[in-house]
Order: sequence, then structure tokens, then C-alpha cells
Amino acid sequence: MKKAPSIISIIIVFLSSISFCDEITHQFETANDYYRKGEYEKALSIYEQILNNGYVSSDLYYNIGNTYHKLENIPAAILYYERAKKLSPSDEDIDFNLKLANLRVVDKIDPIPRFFIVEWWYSLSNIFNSEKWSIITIISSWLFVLSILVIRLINIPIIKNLFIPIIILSMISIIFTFLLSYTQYKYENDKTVAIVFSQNVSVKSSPDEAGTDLFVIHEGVKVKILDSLNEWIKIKLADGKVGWIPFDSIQII
Amino acid sequence: MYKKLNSVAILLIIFTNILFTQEANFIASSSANIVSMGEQFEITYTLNGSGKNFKAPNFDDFIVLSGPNQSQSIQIINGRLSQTITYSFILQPRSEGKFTIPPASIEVEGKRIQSNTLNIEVSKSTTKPQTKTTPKSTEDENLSKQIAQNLFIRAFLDRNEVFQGEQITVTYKLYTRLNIVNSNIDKIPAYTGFWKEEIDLERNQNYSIETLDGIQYRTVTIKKLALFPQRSGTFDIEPLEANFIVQVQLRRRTGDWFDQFFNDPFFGNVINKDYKAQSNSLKIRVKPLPENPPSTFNGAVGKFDIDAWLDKTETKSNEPVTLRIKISGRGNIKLIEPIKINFPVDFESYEPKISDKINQKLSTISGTRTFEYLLIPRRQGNYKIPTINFSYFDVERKTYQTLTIPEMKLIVTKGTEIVGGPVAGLTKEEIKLIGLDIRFIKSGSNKFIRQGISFFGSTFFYILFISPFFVLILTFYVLKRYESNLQNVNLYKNKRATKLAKKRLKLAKKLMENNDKEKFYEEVSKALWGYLSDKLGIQFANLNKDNVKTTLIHKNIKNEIIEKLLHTIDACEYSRFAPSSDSMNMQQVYNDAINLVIEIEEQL
Repeated sequence: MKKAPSIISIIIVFLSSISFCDEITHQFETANDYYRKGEYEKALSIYEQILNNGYVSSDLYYNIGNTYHKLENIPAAILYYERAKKLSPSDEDIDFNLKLANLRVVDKIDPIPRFFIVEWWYSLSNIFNSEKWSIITIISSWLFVLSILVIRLINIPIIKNLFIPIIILSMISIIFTFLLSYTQYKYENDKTVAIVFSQNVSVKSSPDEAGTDLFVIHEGVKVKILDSLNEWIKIKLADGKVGWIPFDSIQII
Repeated sequence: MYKKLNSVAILLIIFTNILFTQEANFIASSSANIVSMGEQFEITYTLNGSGKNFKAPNFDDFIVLSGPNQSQSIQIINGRLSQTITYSFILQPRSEGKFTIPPASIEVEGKRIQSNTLNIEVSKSTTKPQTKTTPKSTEDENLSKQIAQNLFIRAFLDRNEVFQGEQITVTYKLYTRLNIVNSNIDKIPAYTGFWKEEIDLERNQNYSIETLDGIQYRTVTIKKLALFPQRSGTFDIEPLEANFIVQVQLRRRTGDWFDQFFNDPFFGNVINKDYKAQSNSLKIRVKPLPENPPSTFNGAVGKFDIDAWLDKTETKSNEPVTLRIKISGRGNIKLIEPIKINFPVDFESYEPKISDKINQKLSTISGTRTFEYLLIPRRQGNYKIPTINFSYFDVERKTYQTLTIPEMKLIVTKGTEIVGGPVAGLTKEEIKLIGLDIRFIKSGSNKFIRQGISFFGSTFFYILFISPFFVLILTFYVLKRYESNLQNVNLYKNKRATKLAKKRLKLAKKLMENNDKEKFYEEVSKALWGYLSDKLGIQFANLNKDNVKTTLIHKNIKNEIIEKLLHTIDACEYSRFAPSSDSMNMQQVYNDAINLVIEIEEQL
């Protein structure tokens, strides 16, 4: 994601997007109707039109995921659920459907558990997306400043006593929420996680067709990309296994 | 004419006279009168003349091994023509005891004449009466020696040295100059350390002629084996043993005139003898195979070809496919182990079925060994059976050779899937979820945003985030300026007031320094009242404590200052009119007065 160039352009974009909004919503509704009627292919083509215009939302991704799921395209379903999750990290429906889709993945991978604090941090950051966390950060910083001014200017001791803890809390809040927004921001913009799309892939020990086959993975498996060489990428599974696969066997979330 | 006839008649008469002058003698004799169980002996019936229709007696108590053997001879002894016929039998006793062999009979010139009877005693013991047996045992030994010279088994190897696993052929050949009535192989060597495969011999083999050391023998191969050593080293092969029943000619030591007949093998008396023959032992040297065999080598030695094929190249999931690998050639086929093949992960594979076809007719063991692998692909997809490598040790080139089968493609289309998808390895939670459907689509309550734009990290965000701090700094700056200003003002005010106060009380100070008490207090009082008059705008004459107080309160001077002022004024009065009543010292009063002026000045 690139950072928006300036406020002005943001405003312009915002304004222009308002005008588009209605059309997009309309298209979205049409596609949803197709879905309800069971005409999944048609629904998919309209959803994709919206995507092609450059508009996304977690609902859009979620609905696309559902459509692919109905069409029995499990890796695509997983891909879009993951994309939806990036925009709405705490949505239960997305999580549920993702879990169901993952059941259909042949490989049973036991993820290596992360350090519990790390795990807790990520769970926390997933409550909101980065935009919401950023807003909270801004609010916190205003609160912080205001509290200081209050203490400085108002000489009434009761108020002074009330605002001192507020200062401390808001300072902590600034730090935390800023880091949480950053965490979510990294997650949303991470281009190193992908889903395997090939029916089955032999993971090799070296970026070479003639390399030793280490193990086999199937469509729908989530992999992390560590490195690349020509048309090969070095991947790591959730259980820590590492190896090389052809680049065209995956799609990045 | 009468002369010719006469000569013939005379000759005839002479001949018949000759014939008739001999008395017919039919004699039975035995080679031994006392025999032991299992011992063979010969009965001979001799007729000194010509006869016909020989009738043998009943040999019920004896086993007739051979006979009747007939021989005839004409001899002129002492000028007289003599003719003999002999009939002989070789007998073996059935049981112990004393037996009588009844006479045989023969027809001589129309008359039947009989031989004498024979009495044979059969004993159990193998030791025979001295006189009769000693010649017999040495005769036995001699017989064995004689047989050994004329009958033996030779064992041959086609080579002395082989590699481990390489075929070495051992052939057993019988060499004989004697007739063999019967034979069987008694003891075959164990060939420990070798895998052996018997080579079929032709049925009804014929004897061939071979010359050894100038002597002709009839030879025939009695056994042929292909041996494949399983270890390296030097191995001894023990001899092969076989039993033969041989026809041997007998040499008699009796001095009678029968000798001349018996010495001639054509007419001679033969017996069947049991003989045990042993082959020579053999030594085989087995070389170990060269070091560092390829990883795909698993014991095959010889010369081979490999072929592999799938019974179909396209199938449906969960339907079986058979992969066959056929190894054909010469060598230790039965020792070839299955090749390890890494089938694709989604294939269920089983231990291969092994079937052999070995050709034992040729001297070099050859044939095929086929491995059949049953495969069941569990999922659809395009699969490849990886390249198969088979290595063997080539005995001709004396190196390891590797044969390769290229990879084989197998297309698996969607067949009947196992219901429910992957069943194994699910947690309890997951099992609960299997039958559930996905949650329904959303109607788009979330706003659409442009892809790729993030709020966090944008300039806008930072502006909003950092701005309060700016505000804070700004505010503090402003406040500071204000306060310092205020302070400046206060400072200025203070300075001014101090100056004024000091001026007013200058005289008082001087008086204090001169220690002029009375005058001092007067001056202080005067100064204060004067100051108040100026400051408060009240006429000097109208000043009193009350309106000073009122006015000061009105002007928002602090109460404590007012009190202090009044107190100081009072103190001055007292000290003026009641000298040294209070121990108020002048300095303190002076200070108080100064401070009061300053404070009032500052507050106005």
C-alpha cells in the first residue's frame, strides 16, 4: 500500500469515491442476487468487475470467498477469506467460513505455537483494522495533550487530581494503539503469505526440478514466502517445514 | 563210387564211435558250499558232451541273480575230441540254514540225465571258514580295486574363480568301462553358501566315448548344477556319492580246466556287484564384488535387461493400477530384491508380487523375474512414477551397470471420492464442523474503499496525530511568555515600590542608625500615614485607622496586610508615647514598614 500523497488528494479521492459509491453498491447487490439464486458464475463475474475498478471491502472479499466455496474452488475460497480477514480481522463469519474451507485442505499441518505474549498481541491487534486503531491513537494523543493543559491551567485541585491518571493512561494508550495500528498495518500489507493453488506440489530441497523431493503439499495450504530465485520460491509451512516450490503454484494473499 | 561211399561211412562210424565211447557226464558244482547271508556264489552244471533242453532245478531257497548262462566248447584232448556245455547261475541265499539244490537235467541222445544235488550251508556270520573265505575277501578287495580302475565319477567346475553372485557350474561325469545294471545317486553335497539351481539333463542320455591316459571310457553326465555364491571366500565342495550295480568278470583261483573258459570275458562268468563310487571334492574361490556399488545395487550379478510398464496410463481415483517391472537375463535371478520406488504421496502401494520364470535347460541359468506393484491413487491429478534405476554387476565387463526406466505419467481423473473428504486426523472440534455449511453472504454494510490506500501511516494521520502535541507546545510557550511578562511586571512593580518605601523611610532609617528611638518611631508613623494619604487619596488630616482600613478593604488589599499595617502603626504609637514598654526593636519595625509599603504598593 502506498501512503496517500497529501491531504488534498485524499479529499479529492474521497469526494470522487462518493459518486462512485452508489454504482458500486448497486453492482454489489446485483451480484449478491445472483448468488442467492445460485448463479455463482454470474455473481463472481460482477464481483470481479468491482475489484477491477479498484474497490474493495471485506464484505466483497467475503462474498467472493463464499462464491468460490460454492463452486468447490477451495484454494480461491481460502484466498479471498484471508483477504477479507485483512480488512475485518475480527469478523466471526469470515473466521468460521475460513475454518470450514480449511477443513477441506488435504494436508494436516500442526502449526508451531508462538510465544504466548506474541500470540496475545496479535489477538489484540486483530480486534480492529489499522484504520480504527489509528483513530484511537489520535484520540489518545488529543486526550493526553488536553489533560496536560487542564492540569497546567486549571488550579482547582480536585480536577487536577482527576486528570493526572488520565494523562498517564492516555500516554500508555498512545504508545499501545500506535504499535497496534502498526502491527495491523503490516499484516494488511504483508505480501509474503500465499495459498497453494496447484493440486499437489512437491516441495524440493533446492530451486531445481531435479532437487530432492522433501514432501508434498496440496491446494489450499497457506505458506510464507522466505526467498526467491528465478521461478522458484522458498516457502515455510506453519509447522516450520521449509523448501522450494515453483512460483506459479501459489497466489499471494 | 563205392569207394567214396565207403570212406564216408567209415568216417561216420569213427565219429559215432568216438561219440559213443564217451560216457555222458552231467556235473553240478558250486563256487562255495558254505556261504553267508548276502554273499553271492555260482552254481555250474557241466555236461561233457552235447545236449539239449536243459532244465534248471528249483532254486526256491535262493535268489537267482543271473542265469542260466550257457557256454560251449570243443576241445581235443589226448587226441580225442571232447565237447562240453556249461550252464551257470549266480545265486544269493534267502535265509540261513542248510539247503539242498535238486539236480538239473538235460537230454542227451534222447535220454534225460540228471546232475548231482548240491548241499549249500548258509551261515549268518560274515566271517567265513578260513579255507574258503580268505581267498574270497582278497578277492573282494581285488574286485573293488578292479572296479575302481574301470569306473569312477569326476566332478568338474567350469571355472576356478567367480565373483560373489556369479554363476559357477559343477558337472558330475561318470566314466566306466563296465556294464552298469543299475545306479542311483546316494549323497549330494550340501553346497553351503551357495544358491543352487539344478540344470536339467537330457532324458535318455547316451554314452559318449572319452579317452583318459590312453584308455577309452564310456562317459555320461549324471548331474549338473548352477551354483551362485552368496558370500566371498574359499569353499570346499564335498564329494558326490553314488551307488552302482556293476557287472564284473570273476577270476578263479581253482586250477581246473574251467579256467580257460572263465578267463575269456565273452564266455566268462560275470557277477553283479554293488559298488559305491565317490567323486573328487572341489575347491571354489569366490571373489568379493568391487567396492562402492551404486546405491541402486541390491545383489544382482550377471547380465540383465529391465523393462517396466503400467497397465493403464489413465485411471480414476481409487481405482487400482498395476506397475510391472520385468528384469530378464542371466545370473542370480532368484536373488534379485525388489527395487525401492518412491511412489507419489497420494498413492497407496503394497509390497510387490514376485513371479519367476527360470530356464533350467541351458547351462547358464537365465530367465525373468517380474515385480508387480498394485497402486491405488487416492486423489485426482497428473502424477509421475519417478525414474527407476536398477544396478547390477556385469560379470563380463566386471563393472557395475545401471539401467534406467524413464518416468511414467499417470493421469488420474475424478473418480468416486471417499465420502466426507479427509477423515483421518480431525479433531473433535473439526468433526463437529464437517457437515455444516458456510455462513451466508454479507449485504455490504462495510463501506467500499479504494484498494491500496491505508489510513495508518498516511500524512493525514500523522497530521492529526502530531497536531495536539504542537498545540501543547504552543500553549506552553504562550503561557510561559505571559507568565514571564507578568513576572516582569511584578518585578518592576516591586522595584518601584521598594524604592518608594525606602525613600519614605529614609529619614527613619537614619534615626534608627542614630538610635534616636523616639524620633524614629515618630518618623515611621509619619511616613506610613503620609504614604497612605498619597496612595489612598485621603487628606492627611482626615486619616484615621478606620477609614484607612475601609479604604484598603475596598481596594482589595489582603486582610493580613491590613492587620499588619494597623498593628505596626499601633506599635509605633505605643513606642512613642510609652517608651520602652514593649521590646520592639527598631530594625524589625523598620523592616515591617518597608515590607508593608512594598506589599500595598504591589497590590494596588
